[in-house]
Amino acid sequence: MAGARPRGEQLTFANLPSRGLTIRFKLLFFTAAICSVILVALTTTAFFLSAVSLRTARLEGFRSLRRSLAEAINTAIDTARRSIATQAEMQTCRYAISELAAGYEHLLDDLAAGGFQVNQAFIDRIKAELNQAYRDRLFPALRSPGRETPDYEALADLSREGLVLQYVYFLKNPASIDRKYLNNTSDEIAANDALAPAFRAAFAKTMFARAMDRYHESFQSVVQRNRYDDLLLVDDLGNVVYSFKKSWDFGTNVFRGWQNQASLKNVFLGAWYVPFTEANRGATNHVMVSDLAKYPAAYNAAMMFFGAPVTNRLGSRMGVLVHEVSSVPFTDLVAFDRHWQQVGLGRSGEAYIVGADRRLRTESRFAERLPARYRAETYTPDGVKSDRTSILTAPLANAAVGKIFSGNNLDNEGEVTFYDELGHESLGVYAPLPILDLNWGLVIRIDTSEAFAPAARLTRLIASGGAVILVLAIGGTFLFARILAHPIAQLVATAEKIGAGDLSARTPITSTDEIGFLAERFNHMVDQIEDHGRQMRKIFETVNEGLFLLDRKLNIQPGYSQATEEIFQHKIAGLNFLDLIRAVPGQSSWAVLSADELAAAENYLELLLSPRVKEKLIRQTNPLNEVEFHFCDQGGRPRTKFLEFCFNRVMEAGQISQIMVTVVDATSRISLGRQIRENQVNARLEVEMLFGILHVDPAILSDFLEHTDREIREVLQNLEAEQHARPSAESLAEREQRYGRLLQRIGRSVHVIKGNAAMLRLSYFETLAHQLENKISTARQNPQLVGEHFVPITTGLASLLDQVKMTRDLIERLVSMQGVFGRNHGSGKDGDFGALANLAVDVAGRNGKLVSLKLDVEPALLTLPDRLRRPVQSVLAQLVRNAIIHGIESPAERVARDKPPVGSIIVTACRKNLKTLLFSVRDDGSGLNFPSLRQRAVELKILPPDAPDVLNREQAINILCASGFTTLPEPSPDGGRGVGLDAVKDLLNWLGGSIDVETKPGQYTRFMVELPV
Amino acid sequence: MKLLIVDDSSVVRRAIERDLSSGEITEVDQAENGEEAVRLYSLKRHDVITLDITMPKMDGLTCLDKILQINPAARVLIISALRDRATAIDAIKRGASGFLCKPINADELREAFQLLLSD
Repeated sequence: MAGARPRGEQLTFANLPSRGLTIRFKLLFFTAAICSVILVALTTTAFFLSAVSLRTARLEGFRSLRRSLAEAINTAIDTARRSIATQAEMQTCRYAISELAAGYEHLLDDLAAGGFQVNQAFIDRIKAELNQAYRDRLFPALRSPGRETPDYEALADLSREGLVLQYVYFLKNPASIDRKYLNNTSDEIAANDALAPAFRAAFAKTMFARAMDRYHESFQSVVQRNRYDDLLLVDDLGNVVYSFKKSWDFGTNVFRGWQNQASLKNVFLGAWYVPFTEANRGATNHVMVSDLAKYPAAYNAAMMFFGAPVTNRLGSRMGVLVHEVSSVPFTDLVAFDRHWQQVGLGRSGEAYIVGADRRLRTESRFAERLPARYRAETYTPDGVKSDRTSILTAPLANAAVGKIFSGNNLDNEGEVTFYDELGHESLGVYAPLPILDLNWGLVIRIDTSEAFAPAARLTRLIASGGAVILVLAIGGTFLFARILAHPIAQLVATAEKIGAGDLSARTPITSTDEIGFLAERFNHMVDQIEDHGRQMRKIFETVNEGLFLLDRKLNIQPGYSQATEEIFQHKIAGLNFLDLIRAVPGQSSWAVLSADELAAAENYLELLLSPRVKEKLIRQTNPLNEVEFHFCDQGGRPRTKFLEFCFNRVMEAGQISQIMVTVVDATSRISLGRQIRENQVNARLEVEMLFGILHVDPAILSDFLEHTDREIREVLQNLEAEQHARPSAESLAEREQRYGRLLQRIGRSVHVIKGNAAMLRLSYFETLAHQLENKISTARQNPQLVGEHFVPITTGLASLLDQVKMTRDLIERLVSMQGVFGRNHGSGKDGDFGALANLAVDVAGRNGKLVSLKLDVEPALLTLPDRLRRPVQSVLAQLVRNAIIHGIESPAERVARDKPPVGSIIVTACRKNLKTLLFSVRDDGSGLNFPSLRQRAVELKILPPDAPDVLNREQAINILCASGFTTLPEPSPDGGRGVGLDAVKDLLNWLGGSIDVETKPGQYTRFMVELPV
Repeated sequence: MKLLIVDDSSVVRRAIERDLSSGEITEVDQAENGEEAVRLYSLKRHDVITLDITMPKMDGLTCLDKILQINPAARVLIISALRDRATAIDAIKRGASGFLCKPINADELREAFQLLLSD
């Protein structure tokens, strides 16, 4: 198929503009999506299920932990209460407070009695030293952001007795600052070199010193056994008359100075004023407890106080026993002695106690990681900055704490997920602690990340397992898709090959499933396509016509017959048909069409595409049925072809979809037509020549031909002679002269011939002669005549001679034709009379008569002289015709008259004398009926009515030969018009002959014609 | 079936009438120019009109337009000489049904006539 090239880029699935995903990818995506969804669902479900159960389990653990912790804290507080209540009722305590209070009261008197008078200077000195100690040791701990400088006066607002006690037991005690409870006996004081000897001697003898000797040891064992931070005895005036630790608060008064702000005062007051009855004995209701609060004497560490009134046997108040307890026991409690893992708090869990002010009461497990506002500095007794603590720092703002103290009693215990101070999501339980005098809450929490870690681990396990499954599934799908899609991919590859024009491609059939079936049908289909293609190709290769299709926009479709390209000599696929026929620059072929014709062609094609018009009815308007085409061939030479275009509609589903164009190279046919027309013109010329000849008198023509022939031959002989007779001695001028003479001679001859031809109007000869004359004059104009100049003249002469010969041949042909046509009538034994017999038979047959014609002709007259042949033949024919029609009777009549049924006609021809020929026609019919002849003549007004009754022969002949005379009532092809003998007579008159008749009624009639030779 | 033959040559008119004479045709009218043709057509509404293009008084194209004005569905067969081919195409574009080229072949004429009447 010529020009069957794939248009543009080759179409493949990969470069398809709107192609989708391959089946393989779709399968893969589908599987991956399904697996992912399942995986996500599974892991989520697993996570939530396990998280829920973990949460439940964890919270269950926390709740029991909370119960036991609350129990433990309660127990601890209770134990402390019971313990202080018991102690306060002990005899020792009563005696101790009574003696110490008395010793305190009489201290200065006892000193004076011992020989040391406490004067103002002594007091001032002690004060100064104490101030120094405050400044050095205590102030740093008491400094707070709002109060840079602690109130010296408030701190140092001590009674003289208090100052002395501080001086002796604290300032001048040689033990380190946190071990001042040592060196407290009167002996040790007496031996203290730091004290003035007089003073120490006096002091060792005081009642206070002796009371200290008596009770300190017993209190020491109490404090150390119960891990109290301190043990204080406050007398009925609020003076701290005993402090086990001998710290900054020893000797102070709870109503004076800084103590006025501290919680110790409240405990003292509470314990002092608690109603006391016998029923209280053994109970703890009267024990006063203060919340943990910053206690300056303990360097602002958080301290709580248990206070129990000490009464005498009669129940009157003697003072208050106070236990100072730090937060450490509670911290230890909620920290489970740092065994968090064992109680299920893992690495991120903790339990803590908060107060109503939402500040921590126990140390946070993660104190060092908390934000700054939750951290406060601690100080050693030396006033050196030490650790940091989270207790009593900023209030906690988390949801669990909030709920405990929300005031809603229904909701102040439960579980919650919240964000703790570290910002971790936490799972926790919370509850208030039901402790008398203390509004505390307990929170147990753990990071959810840890709480649900097993769930996360499980999820991770499932996810990784799922990922493995996903990979396996994708691998499996890939394999499956490969197995499934491979045949499809082969099918696609084959289709692409076929699309690219390779119709030999087939897809292998690898399976027996639907795809295999599809592949098999596909192959079958391609077989058929290939078959069709092959047949089509064969047709296109074989067909002689150019054959191609135009779409509705008149673009030439690819795939046209091989002959098409041979006709147009270039590829035409894709061209617009109008451009094909139009003269477009750069195109090697175009049709010779006017603008109107081009427009007509365009209109015609438009009509062909219009369904309104019937194709057959406009076929004849096809303006391209014979188009002259110009081509430039490979060498650039212009060539012309005549092309015949024929257009047919191609219908598709009832619509005109395309136009089929057949184009035929009609050059040979059309040029043949032109040649025929040319020949026709030539033939017409020849006919004209023939007529020219015929117009000329034969004798003159003969003379002309003879003269011309002779003249030319002579001239030719002269020429030949001149050429052969070339005298060697002849000079150039001589030869020139000779040639000139020769030319003159030829010119004269030709001129004469031309003149003759003109006179005779033999234009053909005239033209030839004229042309020859021209050649001669051309030769004459040459300055130097040579032999070569005579060549065209010789040729012209020869053609003139040919013309003479041709004319003679023509005449010869005419003569021979005449001979043939002449013999037609006069050939055979009967010569020029042969036709009469046939004529007789024909006429008799037409008129219902039987006739036999006999000839009696002198042999010498069988061939008549040319001049007489036609007149004689026509006269005899007329006479024979008359004899049969008018003379011979019908066969029945003849039989009735006793005659043979076949009539006899005898034609004779003889020489009457030397100058006269005699012809006669005799019939044995009814003869001439003179009376009826006369009557008829009168009727036809040929004879006057008064004519003689009896006609003679001469009169009869005249009547018979009169114009318009006839005896027959109706005209027939053979007679009855009255022109027969009339014409004969005219002819005879012209030839100088005569006619006569002999007749005998009922016997015969004989016409005789005499003609001069 | 009524036929109107329009041609300025009586010989052609007679030839067409002779070639088309059949049982179907009940009435034949002849007109030797466009004006007469339009007049006859407006009177009788012939089923088929054969129309020459070159005519005195009113030429074929004008006549065609007038006839189509009277009846856009008129069946007009142009019968004209070959040199009028562009004009014939023009006529068909204007609404004529077909074209035959002079000299007319009787068979072609009859076939065209049948085609004209086939719908």
